[in-house]
Amino acid sequence: MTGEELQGTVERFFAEYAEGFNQALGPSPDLDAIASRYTESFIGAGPQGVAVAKNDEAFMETLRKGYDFYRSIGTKQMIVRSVDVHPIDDLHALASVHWGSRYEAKGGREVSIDFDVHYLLQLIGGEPKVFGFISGDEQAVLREHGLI
Amino acid sequence: MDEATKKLFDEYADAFDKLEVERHVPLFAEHFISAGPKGSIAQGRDQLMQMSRQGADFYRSVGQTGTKILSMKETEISPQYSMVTVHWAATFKKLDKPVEFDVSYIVQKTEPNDPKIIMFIAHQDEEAAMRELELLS
Repeated sequence: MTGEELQGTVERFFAEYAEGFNQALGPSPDLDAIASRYTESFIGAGPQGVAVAKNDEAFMETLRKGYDFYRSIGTKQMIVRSVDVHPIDDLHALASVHWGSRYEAKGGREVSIDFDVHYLLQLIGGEPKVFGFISGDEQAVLREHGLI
Repeated sequence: MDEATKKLFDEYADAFDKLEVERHVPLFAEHFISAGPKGSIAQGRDQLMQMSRQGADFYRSVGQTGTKILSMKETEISPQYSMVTVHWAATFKKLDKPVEFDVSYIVQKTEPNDPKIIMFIAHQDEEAAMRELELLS
């Protein structure tokens, strides 16, 4: 895969990822589609530490609760603003995604937050899958914007 | 690269060179991901300890005589995490020239003086490379 092809593949992956996220904010979330974008086990890391998770029923429950939470704070949309792709080797890449998110807070106040998440992607079989991600302190940012 | 991260890889390399790979265990987070061309799996330090012993026996059996770091490149991911790609050289009794290979490590620095490896990505299929070099009997 050339650098250009990799960039295109990863951009498509995150466009679909965002589409899946936005669909899941609606009344009938397709959580299987979201889970299918992750490998069998993966790592989540942030300023507070690291956790390893399995892509199993417990993960589906985490997703279910996660989207309930996003709906409850008035999340309306996630947009991919840009994706920086750094190839690691032929089958792995680091993708830094600059996300934009839109909320309708209590009282109808509109809130926009931009943030970055760094994803470790596996490209075995040509289709990217997330096997790790590194994010910021989401709760602190949401609190800062008065959403929680 | 900061001193603590350099120290981590110096220790890693010294332990690998001497095949005292159980010394790798405290350099890893309690849970981590190992990845390579065949896929990725989550592992714990207990498994790593077990694998380290088997690994050392395996490297001895194929006649590995030493390893060293030829170069390292660190890429900052966030204020608390970075990726270090290590270009390794390993020497074997049966081979005149060292075998060079790359491994990328994701390093957690939430405690700056005590960095930990939370993931490693082997760029090559080690077993296939050894078979190609006729190191495996």
